[in-house]
Amino acid sequence: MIIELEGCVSSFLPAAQAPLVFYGPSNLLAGRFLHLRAGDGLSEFGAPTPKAVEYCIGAGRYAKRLNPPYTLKELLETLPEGLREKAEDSVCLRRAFYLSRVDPRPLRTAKVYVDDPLLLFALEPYMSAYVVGIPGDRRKRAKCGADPPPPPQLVDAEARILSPEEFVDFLYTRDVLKLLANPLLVLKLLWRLRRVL
Amino acid sequence: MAVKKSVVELLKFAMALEVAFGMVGLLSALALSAAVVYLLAYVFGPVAGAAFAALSAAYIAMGYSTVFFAYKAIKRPELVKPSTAILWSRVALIAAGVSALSANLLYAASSTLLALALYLYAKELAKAAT
Repeated sequence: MIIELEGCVSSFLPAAQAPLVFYGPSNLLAGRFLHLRAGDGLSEFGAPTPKAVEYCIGAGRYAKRLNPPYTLKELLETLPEGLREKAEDSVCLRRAFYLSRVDPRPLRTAKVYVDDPLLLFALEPYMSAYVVGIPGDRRKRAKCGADPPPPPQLVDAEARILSPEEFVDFLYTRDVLKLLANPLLVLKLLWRLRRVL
Repeated sequence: MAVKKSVVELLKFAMALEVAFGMVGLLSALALSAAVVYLLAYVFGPVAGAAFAALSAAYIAMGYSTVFFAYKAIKRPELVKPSTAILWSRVALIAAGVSALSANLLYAASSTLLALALYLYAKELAKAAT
């Protein structure tokens, strides 16, 4: 979910829990952030979020019907006539497909700053997303703290984009790893089963 | 780039095997679980029997839904999308695990093969789309 920030952003962001991704003017940052960029590339396979499809061609509600991963061909089949031609020529959409295969694993503990909205949409499913300038699902007003926030410190980083095959592997194992990474959840499940039996 | 023909053939073979062994293997599992439910209910009381019945019903429903998926998809494998391939591959993998535990070996083997074939097919589709 994308949360739109208003008010004293530079005071809110240092206190927010990592991992997070932020999009907006970089002078609002405070503290240490990874400045993430992605290399060039276009693709027709991936899992762009409905928001990204909405941003590119205004067809987010059609993308909601598809389960990740999907291909551009599948998306075209769900679109009505007028939008289909728009989607066929859209470079933005192909870029969104490419960026949706970004590898979020190295970013688990980081605060990330992006200046590409498509990269923001790609990272949003994996971490909390705060923005200035893009309308979000929720709004948050941040109040300024008494202490001045620490000066921004941006470290450049290159996003790793998974190849289509790696992306299939990633989706295949994601939920299993989530369960393993959260042993408390497994214990709770077992405890419930034990009580039933 | 087109999808490799060998992968499609493997998928069709695995689906045919799944339908054949699934029908027989799950029917025997149904009979076996009915017997175990009766035994458990007799020895430990009705709650134990009901719990086992619920678990085995979940397993058999999962098994039959993979069989039904294979039966539907075998005629038109080109309709299988990457997302459905990943989903059914995982379901088949779980079904195979449970079958192996309950000594339903033929069905376990065919489910494992189906899971593998669907996984390879999803990768192949991804490669073809790039």
